[in-house]
Formats: sequence, structure tokens, C-alpha cells
Amino acid sequence: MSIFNIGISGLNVAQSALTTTSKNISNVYTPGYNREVTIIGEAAGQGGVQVNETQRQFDRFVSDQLNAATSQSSALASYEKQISQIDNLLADGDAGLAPLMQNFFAAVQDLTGAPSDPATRQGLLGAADMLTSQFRSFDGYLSDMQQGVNSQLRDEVSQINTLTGQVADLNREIALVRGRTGEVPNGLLNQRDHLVAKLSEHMDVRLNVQDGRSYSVTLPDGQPLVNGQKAYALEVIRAPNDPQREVIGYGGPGGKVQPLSENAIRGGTVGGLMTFRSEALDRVQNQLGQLTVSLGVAVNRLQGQGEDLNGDPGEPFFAMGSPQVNAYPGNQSSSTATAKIDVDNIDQLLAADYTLRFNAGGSVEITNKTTGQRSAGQLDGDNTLSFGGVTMSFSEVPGSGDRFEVQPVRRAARGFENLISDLGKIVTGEPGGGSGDNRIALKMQRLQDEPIVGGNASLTQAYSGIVNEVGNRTSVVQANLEARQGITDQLRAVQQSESGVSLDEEAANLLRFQQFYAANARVIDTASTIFDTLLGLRN
Amino acid sequence: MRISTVTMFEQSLNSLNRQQGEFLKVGQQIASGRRVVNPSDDPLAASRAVSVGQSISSVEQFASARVSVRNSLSQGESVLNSVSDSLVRAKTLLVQASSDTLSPVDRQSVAAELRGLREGLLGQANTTDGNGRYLFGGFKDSAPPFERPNGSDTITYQGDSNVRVQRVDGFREMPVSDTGDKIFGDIFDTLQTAIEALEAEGQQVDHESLRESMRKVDASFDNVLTVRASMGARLNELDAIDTVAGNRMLSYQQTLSQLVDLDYAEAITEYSLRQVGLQAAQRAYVDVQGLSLFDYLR
Repeated sequence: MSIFNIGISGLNVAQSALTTTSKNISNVYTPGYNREVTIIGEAAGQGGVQVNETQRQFDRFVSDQLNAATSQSSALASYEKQISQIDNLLADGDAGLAPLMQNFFAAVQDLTGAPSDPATRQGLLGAADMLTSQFRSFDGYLSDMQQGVNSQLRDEVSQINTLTGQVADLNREIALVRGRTGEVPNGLLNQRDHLVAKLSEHMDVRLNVQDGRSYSVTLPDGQPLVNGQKAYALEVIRAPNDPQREVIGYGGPGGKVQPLSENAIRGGTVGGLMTFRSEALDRVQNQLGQLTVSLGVAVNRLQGQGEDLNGDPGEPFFAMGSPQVNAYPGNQSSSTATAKIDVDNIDQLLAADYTLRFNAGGSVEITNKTTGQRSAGQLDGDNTLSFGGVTMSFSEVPGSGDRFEVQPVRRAARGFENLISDLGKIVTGEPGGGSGDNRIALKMQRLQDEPIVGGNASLTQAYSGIVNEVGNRTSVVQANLEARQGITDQLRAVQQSESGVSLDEEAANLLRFQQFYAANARVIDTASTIFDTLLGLRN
Repeated sequence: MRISTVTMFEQSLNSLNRQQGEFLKVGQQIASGRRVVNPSDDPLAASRAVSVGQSISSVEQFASARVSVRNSLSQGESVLNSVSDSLVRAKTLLVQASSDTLSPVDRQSVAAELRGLREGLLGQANTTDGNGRYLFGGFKDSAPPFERPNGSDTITYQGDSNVRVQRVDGFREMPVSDTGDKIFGDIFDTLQTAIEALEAEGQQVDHESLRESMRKVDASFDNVLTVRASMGARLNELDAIDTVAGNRMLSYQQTLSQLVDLDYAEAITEYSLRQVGLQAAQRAYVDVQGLSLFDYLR
């Protein structure tokens, strides 16, 4: 090859390298961009130079690691964002539920001093109204959060479906370009990897590269979301065990949409939301419900033991929301069930949900969903079943395999109300005691020290338990998030060190390839001079 | 290791954010005066603060109960004070009346004064509190505990023998009064008998009957003194409880403060430290972002 051609090959390569450098510079802040390097090689046997390839700097191993870390930190971030709201709700010690309970009992104490005085009676009703309305509004806040989780899940799922659809499209396009030109479409590859990275923020997915080309994306359990050019959408569906709860449904290649187990997805925003809901939100709402029912039942029971100012037997003071029961849609029998609080065994009432699974002949396995503890039960002759402080009645004996979901206290605080408006109906004394009898009022005052919640905690202890649990969970999540975010940041720096653009480096390259270009131009100039010299010989 | 431009930017920004977060946190603590703002700041302290809050509320409830019991007992004691005065006067009158030098007319006037004393005692026995509730009727506090059926001179007790108690301390339930039957016993009958004896026709009084009446008045007087002493003892006990409860309250408030309040000296040191940290991060950000090879390509 001539010097001239060698120079031209160098010029071409320098131009290519400068193109790559400018591409890198212009994409320095482009999300998902992987820096490119011009790989230069000797032009075989010709003395010149050539561009072997423009290589995308991408490390699959680091990228997979980063995606997994992103899923985990984004799950913790969404969990933290949610639970912080409860943490904030409990933050103000002066406006929390504890002062309201104290206020109620202070009003009861006033009543012990002047049991028939209209002013102290009015004071008690006022305190009871305030107590019940604040319990309801606390629960309302938590219920809003339940609704919030539902609607965020819908958003998330729609974004996930868009992303998986785009991955499938890109699988097709990349195959087309490769087939048509045989070239590696770096831009499309970047886009596809970026989509997978974004998907990892929403949920934890598994990525398999088929034949080194096509991306197949699956749920953590291996069921396909993207397979070649086909994407399978997720759906948000109503939970079979709770009509007010939404869960993620998946049809897959079979097409029949089934609910995924609530812990099937643990990573990404979706995983964070699901874990927060089942681990923290349900729990706090149940604890609040347990507190409500314990207080309500104890006060109502004392009211029932006495006589009001008109000499009538005491009526209930408080109303509480009833236990919820849901029959699973797939049950073979058409047995329906209702549940009520078992006042005589109120000590057994826990802040937990239960799943009942029937075997033949009315024998039943009762699972406490919070602790996972199982116990066996047997339907009574009149189709009733008592456990955990509730009594259930079934319309008929459920079939073998039939399941029921029971939430004894989930909606209790929502229905917490003061039933008494007539001052004379407040019971302070025992039957026949007279207007100055304060014995029932004294017993009511003593309730604040008695272990009436779950048989082992006073109202304050139970409430401080909620504060402690929420505080602990929040601080653990915050600490985990910080640690996990550190790891993610570290991996991101590693990924960037391989794939990210360094402007300083590109500036140096710019200089280098500019000189490279100039040198080659000089070679051509030299070749031309030599050529001219040769031509001049004849003169 | 290659450092990408984005990494340089992100890492500077991250440390800037982190420093800013820490700085704001201390600022928030100083502004609120509390070390524990959210339960997550110190879950154990936050939950213990709830328990201490309940203890404080109980102490306040008992303090308010003591005010109410003290009112009731003071009123009772003051009534009994008058009652004992009346009984002393009755005794004096009976001593006068038993003298043989007293004319029937004088005896009549003694009888009249005794009748007045008896009416006065009836009024005292039917004393009401500020809310119109009868002090000495037991649980039956809405009607006068001592009644005189129409046209009769007999006075009978209509109340019951229950005494209302109130919780004045964690483990102390104190009777707020005493019942009329216990305080007044058969004093109305005794006085009536004496009056009737003095009003009887004839020159001579029934000395035996008067002596019996005097003995009974003495017994009543002793009884009233005993009840008064018991009320006084309860009032003293309330004072003692007040002192102890005051100390207890102070200690609860100290505990609460130690649990959630801020140590300002420590916080302000931390504040200055964080401020320096934030300033350093800002400086580093500007410096790092200002460094570029492109600046040297001319």
C-alpha cells in the first residue's frame, strides 16, 4: 500500500475516533448511555490502520449487580417513605392518642367526685366524643394509606407493563437490525439495558439473555414477563380475601389472571409497598383496633353492671366496628359466615388476622397470619366457632378445603363511637345505689391501670407498644436504606467507571485524535510532496 | 479507577445532600427543644415517654381528686365544728335545767332554746355541698337525709350507710365524708326526750330523765368529736400525700425531660460541627465541578 493510502487510512481512523469522542462528550449526561471506544487495529498486510469496531463499554455482571441493588434500595426507599408517615403521625406526643385516653380517664375521675353532677357528666361525654373522633381520624389516616397503596400499585403496574412492552419491542428491533445489517446497534442495546434498569426500580426481575441476544425478563419465581418479542402484562386485581385490598395479578402465557402471593415481589417500589402494607400498615391498624375494642368492651361491660340515673340498667357506652369475614371465591360450599367479638374471652383478642381452612366434618385449621401460628378447631353443633376473642357463625358446615379470612379488629377503630348523648344514661353506680353512688365510676377509673388489652397490657402500655414498634421499624428501615443505598452508590460508581463518560478523558482523547489526524494529514502531505518530487524529476 | 463525570457530580451531590440532611436534623432538634421528635429517633425513649405521660396523668387525676375530697372533708369538718358547739350548749342548758331553783317558766325557755338547737342541728345534718348534694346521706345524696314526717316531732334518717370514696393516690381510696346515722346517732331523739321532760306539767323536773339525756348528749358529743378527728386525720393525710405526689411529679417530669428533651450544649456543638461539614461539602462541590481539562484547551 502506498504512503498516500496509509495516510488516508489513518485519517479515516482518526475521524472515526473523533466521532466516537464527540458522541461520548455529547452523551455525557444521557441516562443509560454507555461510553464507546474505537478499537483500532492494523490493516492486515497493508501497513495501514483500520477501525475494528466501535465498542460499547458495558459489563453485564456489574449491570446485573447494580440492578439487583437498585431493586433492594428502591424497595427500602418506598417502605421508608410510607412508614415515615406513620412515624410522623405518632410524633406529636401532645396530640397523639395517649393524651386523649388520659383526658377520658381524667373526666371519669371528675365523675367519681360528683357522680350526678350534670357538669361532670357533660365533661365525660365531651372527652368520649373527642377520644372516639380522634381514634376514627387516626384510623382514617391509615385507611387513606391503604387506598394510597392500592392506587400506587396501579401506577406502578402500568409503568411496569409499559417497560416490559418496550423491552419486547426492542428485542424485535435489535434482531431486525442485526439481521439486516449485521451491525451491532449500540443505541438500541443501551435503551434496552436502560429499560431493564428502570424496571429494577419498580420491582425485582430476573434477566436471562437468550442466545446472547434476546432479553427474557421474568418474575422472581421465573414466570415470564418478557419472552422474546412477547410481553406478559401484570394486572391489579381485588384480593380474594379482602374486597378493599388490591393485589397484583398475573396471567402469563396461560392467560388466566391469578393473584400473586403478597410476598412474590419483594424488590423495587412494588415490593416496598407490599411489604410495608403487610408488615406495618395492617399491623398498626390492627393494633389500633385491638386498643379500641379492649377499651370499648371494658367500659361497656362496667356500664352494663350498673344502673343509670333513671334507674334503668346501663346501656353500652361505645360502639366499635365489627370483625370482618370474607369467604374465598373458590369455596365449594356456599357457607357464609359472620363474626362478633367474644366479650367473655376478650383477653384472647389479638391484633392479628386469621385464615381458616376447613377439613371434612367441620374440623378447621386456624392460622394467625401475623405470627404464622396454627391451631386446630372444631365447629360446634350450632355451626359456631370461637377462637382468639371472636365467635363466628356459619350458615352451614363449610366444605373440605374451604377457606375464610377473618379480621377481628381491622375496622374496629373506624366504627368507634360514643353512643350516649343523654346525660342521665351514664352509669356511675351499682343497681339501687342512689345518685351519689360512684362505685362503677371508680371501677371505670381503675381500667386505665388494668391489663385489659390482650390480657397482658394496659391501654397505655399497648399504645406505647405501637409507638415503640413503629419507631423501631422506621429506624431499622432507615438504617437498612442507608446501608443499602451506600452499596448501590458504590456499584453505580463501579458501573460508571466502566461505562460512564469522563469529560477529562474525552478532552485528552480529543487532543490526541486531533494530533493523530494532523499527523496523518502530514503523511498525506509528505506523500504528495514525494509524488511531486517524482513528477519534478522529469523536468 | 476511572471516575466518570457523572460519578463526580453524583458523589459531590450525595455528600452535599447528606450533610444538609444532618444539619437540618440538628436544626430541627434545636428549634423544637426535643431530642426525640419522631418515635424513630429513639423508639425506646418515645415509648417510655408515653408511659411516663400516663403516670403524670394519673398523678394529676389523683391531685384533682384530692382537691375534691379536701373540699368535701373541710365542709364536713366545719359542719361538725358547729354541731359540737351546739351539743356543748345543749349540755349546758340541760345542766341549768336540772337545777331545782329553776321556775317552770325558766324551764320552758330552756326547752324552747333546746328546740331551737335541735332545729339547728337538723339543718346542719342536712347540709348540702356546692352542687346541692347532701353531705351526710351516703349514696342517697339527692334528698335530705334527715326527715320529719308531717305533723310529727320524730326525725328519722333516710340516707344509707354507704360512704363515697375517691381515689386520692395510686393505692388509697378515701371516704369523702361520713354518713348521717354514724355522725348524729340518736341525738334528735335524745333532745326531743329532754324537751318533752322540761315541758312536762308540774313543779318538779324528772331528774332521772334529764340525767339520762345529759349522758346521751355527752356520748353524742364524743361521737361527733371522734368523727371530726377522723375527718381531720384524713385532711392531714391529704396534705402528706400532696407533698409526696409533688415530689413524684417532679421526678416524672425530670424523667420525661431526660427521655425526650434536648441537651442544648451537646446539640449546639453538633450544630456547629454540621455547619462546618456542610460548608466543606459545598466548597468541595464547587471545586470539583470547576475542574475541567477543557478549560486548558485553548
